Amino acid sequence: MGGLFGAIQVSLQNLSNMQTALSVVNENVANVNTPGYSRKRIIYAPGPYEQRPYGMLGTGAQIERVESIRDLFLESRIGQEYQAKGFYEGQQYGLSQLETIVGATDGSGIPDQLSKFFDSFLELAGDPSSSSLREVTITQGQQLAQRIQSSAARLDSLDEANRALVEDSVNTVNSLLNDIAKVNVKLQPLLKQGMDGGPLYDERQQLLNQLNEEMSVQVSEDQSHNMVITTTSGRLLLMGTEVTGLSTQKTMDGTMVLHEGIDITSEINGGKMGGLLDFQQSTLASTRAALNSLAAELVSTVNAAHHNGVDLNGDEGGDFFSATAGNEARTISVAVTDYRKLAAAAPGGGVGDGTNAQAMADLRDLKVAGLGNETFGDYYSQIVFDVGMASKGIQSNLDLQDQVLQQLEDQRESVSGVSLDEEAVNLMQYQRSYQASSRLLQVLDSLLEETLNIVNP
Amino acid sequence: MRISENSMVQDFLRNLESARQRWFGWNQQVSTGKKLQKPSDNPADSAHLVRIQDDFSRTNQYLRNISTAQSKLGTASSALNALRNLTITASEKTIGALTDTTSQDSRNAIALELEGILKNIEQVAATSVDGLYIFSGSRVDTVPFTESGGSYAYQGDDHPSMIEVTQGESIQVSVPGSEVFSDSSADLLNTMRQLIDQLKAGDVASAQATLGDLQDAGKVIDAARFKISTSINQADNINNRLNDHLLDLTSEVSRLQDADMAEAISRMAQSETALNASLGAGAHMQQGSLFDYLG
Repeated sequence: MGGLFGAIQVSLQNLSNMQTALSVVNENVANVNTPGYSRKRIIYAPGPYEQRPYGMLGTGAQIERVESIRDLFLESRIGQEYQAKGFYEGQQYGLSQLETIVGATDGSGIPDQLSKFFDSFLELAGDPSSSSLREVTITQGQQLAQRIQSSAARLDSLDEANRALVEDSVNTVNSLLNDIAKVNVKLQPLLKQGMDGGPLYDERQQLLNQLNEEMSVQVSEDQSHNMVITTTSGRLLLMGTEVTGLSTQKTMDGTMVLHEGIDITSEINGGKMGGLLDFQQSTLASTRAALNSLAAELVSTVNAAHHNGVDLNGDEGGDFFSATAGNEARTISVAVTDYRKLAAAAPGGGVGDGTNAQAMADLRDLKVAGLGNETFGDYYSQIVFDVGMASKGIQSNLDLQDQVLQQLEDQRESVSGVSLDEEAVNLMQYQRSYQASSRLLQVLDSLLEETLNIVNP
Repeated sequence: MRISENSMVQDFLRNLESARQRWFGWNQQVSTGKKLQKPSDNPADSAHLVRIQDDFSRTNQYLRNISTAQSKLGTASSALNALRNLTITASEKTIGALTDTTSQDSRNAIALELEGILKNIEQVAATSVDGLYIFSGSRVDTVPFTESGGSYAYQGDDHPSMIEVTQGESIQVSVPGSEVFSDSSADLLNTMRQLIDQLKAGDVASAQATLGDLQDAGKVIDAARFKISTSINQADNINNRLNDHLLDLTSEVSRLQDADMAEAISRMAQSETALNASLGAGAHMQQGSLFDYLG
């Protein structure tokens, strides 16, 4: 259709185009603070051309599509970095607590109690018949045993808390998978038609980032645009809108993560869940084992030395500590209750002989074979060092990871984020265009009026 | 690079957070006075601190052991000194009693005095502190000597009392009675008994020989006194050494765990400035966009 009416149609089309454009600007501005929002833009295309004797004539502009601007490669990298961040976060949670448990600097920690314990034997050796010093030695032994027990109990409860967090994480993963599936119900038909997913896609991307932070997954699409999410070991978690979630099962010594009834705990190596499991299996497990070795060696070494002596009644010393084999740290306690049964003297010595008490005080410098030829104190300081190093390492990894992620998010924002200045310029442009079209319409209208007046004077 | 509104806000928040964290770190050092709050602040120093604190605790115990030792040595020393004086007096009296001009009456009188001295020696031999006999060796709960029919028998053993005063170094703080009163070369108590009996009997020749034994017993006591005074010197020396060591340890502990206040305070001020600047920048952020100029 040519002529004035055709021109009016073109103007009308442009007015409607500009209205759409303004609403896109409006949406962008409205979402300026929405996390993960990808700005939209309108892609225009010239309208269909009409063949005229004198050449091709256009019919104005059409909106081809509205698309969200995003860098898919960048977004998948962000997802991966979230896996690493989650992994470090999962470890940091337990490590910072572990640090306070082993590193008690308040003067009542295990090393302090070890020092006081050996000090008490040292003092007893100089005055072995003193009933009060004997009581002090027994009390110091009890305090040391209690301190080891309470540290072991705190490690156990840290272990339990960590397990609960693994379960929380599994629940979070399941609910995220369900959320993603819900989004897919609406999003996938659009994608299958080759359309832009817009905010649905943004929402799914946000959910995917959260999922990645929770556990390491691999995301792909099959030929018919169905989303496929698997674990890094290839177990299917989501296929389009179908979710195969994870479950947990408590076992004797931990929490298993199950997928379709199969224990996949050892396959989870990234994200918060991976970090939690890694902490549990590495640093926490080794610290618990180390504390137990310390307790076990303490029990056997001190008991052996105590057996070598004789007590105030002239009888051979019995066990000083008692503990359940294999679980020494949780069960260590002092077996000697009567101060007279403390074997401070060497066999044949009188009540004033402190030779055996001295021998027990000397255990402080003994390089214990079962502790890698370290003294008790040095062995504990090694635990402090190891935990400190692990925590320090995770902290710096986490700082670094935050920076990496910040940079990527900045890059993503620079591609997809909303800039108000830019939107203002667009707004101006569309406004002017709208004004121009209205103006044109006005001119066309007056021309049409002129024409009508000619016909009808 | 295109800067979006969102990235400005997020960057600002991150930067503010890290400025706050830095400030908090220094503030914590200033308010607690410690730079080692947890092992990860410095793992090596934290581990080192564990060992130093053990040394610290042990050194303090050694100092307490030294003061126990010194008190025991004081008791032993005064007992042995008293004993030495008693034997000297006994020797002098005996010499007086053995001159040709001394009458038997006078000898009897001197014998009586010697009886008194013997009683004193018995009392010294039975010296006890808190009910513990210092001359019984390790059988501190046993009276060192019993007398029956004018003959003394040692009831203790020959273990001297030892106290460790520094790593691997013990000092002797008592001398068993067997080394003082009934040494193989001289038996003080029985010698005194013999002497008194001989004087009473007027057996000058035998008493003369026994006097020699008494003087030998004096030498044995001197040997014991020498041991004790050696220990006293040792205790004093080690006491000084340990106090020096304790001073070193204190400064080492302080170096490892105490914050450098001058640095911490100026760093805190510095980070506070940064924090305020960051807050200020935030307040100015997003103050304007082109929208403000659209008519």
